[in-house]
Amino acid sequence: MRKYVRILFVNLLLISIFLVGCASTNSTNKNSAENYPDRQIELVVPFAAGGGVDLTARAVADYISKEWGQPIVVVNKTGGGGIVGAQYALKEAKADGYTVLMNNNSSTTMYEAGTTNPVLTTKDHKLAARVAESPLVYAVRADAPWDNLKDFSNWVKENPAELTWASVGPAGFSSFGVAEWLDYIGVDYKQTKMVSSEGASDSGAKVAGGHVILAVHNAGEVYSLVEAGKLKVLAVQGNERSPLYPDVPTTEELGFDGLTVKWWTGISLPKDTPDEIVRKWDKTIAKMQDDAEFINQLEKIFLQPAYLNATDFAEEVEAETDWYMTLGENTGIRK
Amino acid sequence: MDSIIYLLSGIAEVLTPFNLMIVIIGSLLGTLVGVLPGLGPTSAIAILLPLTTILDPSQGIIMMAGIYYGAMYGGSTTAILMNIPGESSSVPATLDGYPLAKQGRGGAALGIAAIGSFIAGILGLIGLVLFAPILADQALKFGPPEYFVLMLMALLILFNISGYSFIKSLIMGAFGFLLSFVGIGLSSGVPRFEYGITVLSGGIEMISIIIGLFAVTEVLKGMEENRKRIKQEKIKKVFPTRQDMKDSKLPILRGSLLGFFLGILPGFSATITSFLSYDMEKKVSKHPEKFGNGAIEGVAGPESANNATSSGGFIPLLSLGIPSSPPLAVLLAAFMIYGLTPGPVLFEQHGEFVWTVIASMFIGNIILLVLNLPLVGLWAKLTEVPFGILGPVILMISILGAYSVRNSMFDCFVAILFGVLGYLFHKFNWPIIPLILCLVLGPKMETSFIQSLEISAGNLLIFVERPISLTLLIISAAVLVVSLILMKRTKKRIIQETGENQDLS
Amino acid sequence: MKLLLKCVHKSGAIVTILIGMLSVVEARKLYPYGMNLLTGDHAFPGLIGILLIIAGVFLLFSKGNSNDNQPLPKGKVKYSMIFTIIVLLLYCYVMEYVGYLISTFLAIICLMQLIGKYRLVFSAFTAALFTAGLYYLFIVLLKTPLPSGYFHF
Repeated sequence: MRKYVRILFVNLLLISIFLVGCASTNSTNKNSAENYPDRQIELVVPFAAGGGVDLTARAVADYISKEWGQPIVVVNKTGGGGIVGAQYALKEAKADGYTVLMNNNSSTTMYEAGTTNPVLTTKDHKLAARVAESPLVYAVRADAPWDNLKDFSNWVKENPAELTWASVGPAGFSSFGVAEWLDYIGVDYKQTKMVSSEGASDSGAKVAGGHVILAVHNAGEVYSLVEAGKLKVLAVQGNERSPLYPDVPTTEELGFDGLTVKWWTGISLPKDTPDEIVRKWDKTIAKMQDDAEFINQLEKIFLQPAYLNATDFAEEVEAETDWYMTLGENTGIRK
Repeated sequence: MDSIIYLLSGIAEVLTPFNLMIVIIGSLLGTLVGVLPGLGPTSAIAILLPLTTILDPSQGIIMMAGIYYGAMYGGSTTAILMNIPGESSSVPATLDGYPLAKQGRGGAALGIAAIGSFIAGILGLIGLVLFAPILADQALKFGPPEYFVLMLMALLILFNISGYSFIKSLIMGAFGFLLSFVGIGLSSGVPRFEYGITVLSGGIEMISIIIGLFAVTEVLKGMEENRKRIKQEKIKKVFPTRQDMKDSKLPILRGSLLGFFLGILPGFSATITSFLSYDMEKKVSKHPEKFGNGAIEGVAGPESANNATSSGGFIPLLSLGIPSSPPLAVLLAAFMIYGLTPGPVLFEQHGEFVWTVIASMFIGNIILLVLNLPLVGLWAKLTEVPFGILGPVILMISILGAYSVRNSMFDCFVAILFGVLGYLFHKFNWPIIPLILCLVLGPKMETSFIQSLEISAGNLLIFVERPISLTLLIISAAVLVVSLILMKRTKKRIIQETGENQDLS
Repeated sequence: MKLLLKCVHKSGAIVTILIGMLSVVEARKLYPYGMNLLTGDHAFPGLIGILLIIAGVFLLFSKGNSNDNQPLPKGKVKYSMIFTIIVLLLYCYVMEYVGYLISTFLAIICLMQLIGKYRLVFSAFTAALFTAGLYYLFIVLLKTPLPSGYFHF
């Protein structure tokens, strides 16, 4: 008998929980933008813990939670090349400023340019500010016969079919970097061989072991292998030398003009977020760039501070998307 | 030589108070899960993966490694005191350990098991320090084709040891592969097997599958068996006598060497080596008739062998990224969550990390020896925690653990689903070990396959044209044959000793 | 009983074949994105699918091993196992609405009733203890953003 009473009880409990669950009383939690934030904020990182975007997000969270007096929790939602997390933060969560996204080229401009039917576009973002960047570098095996990008480009022009290069995702940072460079030196992208890799440490190992010729990553990602004497850097993209490789010439110094691909990370909010909240983020990040502790933290993870305000950031992202679209069409990266 | 300097600085790193605490917690937790029925190292490591979000990579891995070797220690406690082998590798320990316990010398048997495990663990680690860096250095020469061949052969050998029909192992392995395919494809960037469902484009989290198959299933099995308390034998003296030590000296040494050298190769599980060691001791012994009635050598040899095998398993894991058993496969998953890829580059890029982890294993082994001898009584008590409390707690930790890996409720449903599936697999005798190994190795194997063919422009001959790859193929084929023979033998021995078919892990 | 064994064996084989076909279909869908027949994301699903179909057919025509099937639990045990799974599913579903604290507390009580068959008071006490303990572990220490439901605490 007691047995049945027990089962009955369990059933009752189950039903009551279920009812509570269904009775979705939409508690009106009106958080006006004026007293934002009045509770914990979720900073979504669509990439794995330990990567560049994640570490930047943690530095940002440290600073802003002190500044605003509310906890900021970094949440990693990985998968789908950053799209799963981005969709969660921009489309599934409420546009109330309590779910914020730390984005990056590969989940924004490169994704949009590389996919014919993107589920997420720049229009879904309200960009608040750019936080940090890192230049692109060209890395080959340490005992490779080329000393700089010029020699290497000449070799590639003569033997385009010999070139193997490591990509991270078919429409990722490396692919667009290589596509832009090949476009500049006039080599057909499709003639070269792309080898898919899982990430910088995978592709670094393939290049160091002599299985693949070229790896293109941001400056910090190949640093440890260069230090260990397994890789060498042929050039740093842009017009400024990297503090990590003071002896390596830039692409401008070598006479390559207009190579623009670089790595960056910044803050996005859902498109319906109140403007005051976006402005608050923008202002605080501008202030953060003068904080010694934050700058120090960025240096440790081999990134450079690169603040851009909301308007400039949005313009830059738009320009980047257009350029990558063109590149993607010409090379067949876009699928 | 460099290795020793790195190791010393690693030890210094581990001896900081916080790290030391992590090592202690890890090894104690490991012993605990080894002792408790219903939780093994595989599910314990899987459930504790969320820890990775607050701990540094080195601390997280230190703790999980601690759980892994701690569980090996803990497993022998239940084997000796209650005649319940926590894992199949502890079966030989029951053969002479339980008779010893019945004679009131359980303490001595536990003591010898702990000492043997310690010595074997340390010897295995010395081997790890000597071999792993050399192998890692050479491993850069391993390109995608070599890795593919290596993993293919490792899988074939591992299938063969699961102890079930080969065809069922093959199907379960293929099923594990399929699960790993869900999500964005590596070379095309197009989502696969997602059928328009957004969550699926992020892939199915392997940790939730592992939690389901191991922890949830285990609770369901426990409910069915309606676990009762088992009478255990009293422990009198923990410290073995001088005579015991003298008798066990050589078996420990032989067991360690045997376990270590076979442990380096994929496909030789701790079960195989511990049985081999038991039989070897029986053969060399001057009193083979004592075996089975409480011969201390019969505890010393196999216990050392299985611990040496588990330390040996770290060599292919760290230097090549190939796990040789399910708990190591989960450990590999933990590395990947941190964005660390075990393999040749790990030693270059994260040298300090690797050496800290290796150093922690030395310290962990010492801690286990120091803490476990006096705590044996306490551990034995813990086996009496009623299942009615343990079961619900394991279930709750499983669900919350599955949630916290990606902060997604979908993963919890996956864990529950696989808990039910795992139970049915168990009922209908479908092996889950091939599934787990393929789930973890699947993406890596597919990557190597795609990379190889991208390099060769679609030519399959790349797998036999390269000298290292060809050599590996030949060696693996030989190893496969040897392990097949040894496996047949071990299976026969298990049936002889326990009268049932067991999962060999 | 023998018939049941046969059924389980055959249905395992048929499920295997179906899953294999599913995989081959997916591979065909992915084929246009690949570089050639063997290079690309379609290659492995295709190969594994074919392997599954072949293995399934093999299994279909092979004799099942009579040791392979242990009887499924019956009666009380069966129901308490099914209820345990239902409690877990509901727990995950409900947590999003009522938050961690309430759902965990209730779920542990239910599970202890089902698995341990303790008295209600004891169950409630233990549930409170473990709810607090797990709260400390997952929310305070691990900072897991578990749902807090409509009530913000």
